[in-house]
Amino acid sequence: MSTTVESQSHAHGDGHHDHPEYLQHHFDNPAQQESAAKLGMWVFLATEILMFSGLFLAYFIVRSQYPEMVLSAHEQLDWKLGSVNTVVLIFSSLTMALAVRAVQLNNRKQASLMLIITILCACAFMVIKYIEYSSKIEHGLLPGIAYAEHTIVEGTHYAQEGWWGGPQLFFGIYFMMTGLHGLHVVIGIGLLVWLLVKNNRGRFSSEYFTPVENVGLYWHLVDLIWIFLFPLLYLVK
Amino acid sequence: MSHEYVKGYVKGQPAKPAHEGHHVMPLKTYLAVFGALMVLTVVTVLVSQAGLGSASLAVAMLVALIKAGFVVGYFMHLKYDVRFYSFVFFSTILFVGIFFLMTFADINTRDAMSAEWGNKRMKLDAQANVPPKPKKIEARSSGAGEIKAPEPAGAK
Repeated sequence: MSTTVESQSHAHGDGHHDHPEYLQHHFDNPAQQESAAKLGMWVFLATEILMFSGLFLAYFIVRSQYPEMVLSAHEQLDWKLGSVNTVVLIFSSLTMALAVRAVQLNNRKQASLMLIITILCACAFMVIKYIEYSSKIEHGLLPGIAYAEHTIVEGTHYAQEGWWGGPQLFFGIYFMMTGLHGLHVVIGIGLLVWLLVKNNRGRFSSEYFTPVENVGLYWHLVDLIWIFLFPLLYLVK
Repeated sequence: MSHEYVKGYVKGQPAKPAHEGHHVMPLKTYLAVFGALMVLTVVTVLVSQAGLGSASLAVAMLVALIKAGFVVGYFMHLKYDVRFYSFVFFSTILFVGIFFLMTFADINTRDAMSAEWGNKRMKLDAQANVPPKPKKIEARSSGAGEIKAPEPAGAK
C-alpha cells in the first residue's frame, strides 16, 4: 500500500504536487509547520537562557563574596567601548526585526538590505570585542597561566599570594561570559549570511519566512543577554 | 504563486491559508521601541555614575529588565504571538529564579552555620577561615555522653 502511494504522489521536486515547495512532507499545512518550528526555537532559547543563567549566578556569587575586588577589577574594562557595543547590538536587533517585517511584506530588497546592516553591526561588535580582548590579554588579565600574577618556579605554576578572591576571578567570569556571548554573535553572523543567500534566491515570502523569524529570535536573545552583561560587567558600582 | 493549501487542522481549528494569521507590526512601533532602548541605555550609564551606592545594582537590574521586556515583547513578538511561547519563556525565567534562590539561600546562610562554631565569617574559598573544631560539642559529649539541646529561655 505504501509503495503505491510512494509511486503515485510522492515524486517530489517536479512541482506537480499540490503543496508549496517549502512545506515538509510530515506537516499537513504551513501553519502547523510554522508553529512546530517556532515552538522548537523557543524551547532552544529556554536552554540558552538556562545555560547563561549559570554564568550569571557565578558572577553574583563572586560579587557577593568579594564586592571590593569586583568594584576595583571592573575599572580595567572600558565602559565607553561597552556602551558603543550596546548601541551597535540594539541597533542590529532593530534591523533584524525590520528584516522580518520586510519579508512579511514581500519586500525582498529591503529584507536583504536589513540583513546586510545586521551582519555589518555584528561584525562591528566583534571588532570592538577584539580591541577590548587584545588590550586585556596584553595586560595579563587572561585567567589561568597567562595571568600576570602567576609565577613559574622550576616548571611549576604557582599562583602568587592574593590569588584567592583576587581579580583573576572577575576576569575569569568576564572572559567566560563575554566569550560565550561572542561565540553566539559569530554563529549569528553565519546564520544571517545563510538567510541573506536564501533571501536573494527568493526562498522567502509573506507565506513562508519561518527561518528569518527564528534566526531573528536567536539574534534578539543575543541582544537580550548583552543587555544584562553590559551593566553587570562594565558599570559595577 | 499563491498556494491555498489548507489541508488539516491547527490547534483544533481548520487550517487557514499560509499568508493569514501573521501579525505585521507597524514601522513606528519598532522605531519607538528602539528609541526607548536607547534612552534606557543612557539611563543605565547615568545611574552607574550617579553614586547610588548599594541601590545602584538594583536600579541597573530594573532598567535591564525593562529593556529586556521591550526586546522580548516587541522585537521577539512575544506580545502578539502564540501564548504558549510565553509559557515556555516565563517558565524558563521561573526556573532561573529557583536556581538563583536556592543557591543564595545556601550562600547567605553559611555565616549563620559557622557562627555556631564560633566563626564570624566563612568565605567560600580555601584560604578563608576554616571553621575551627566545634569545642562545645566535644566538651559536652565527653562529659554527659550525649549532646543536649540548649534549654529554652524561661523553661525553669
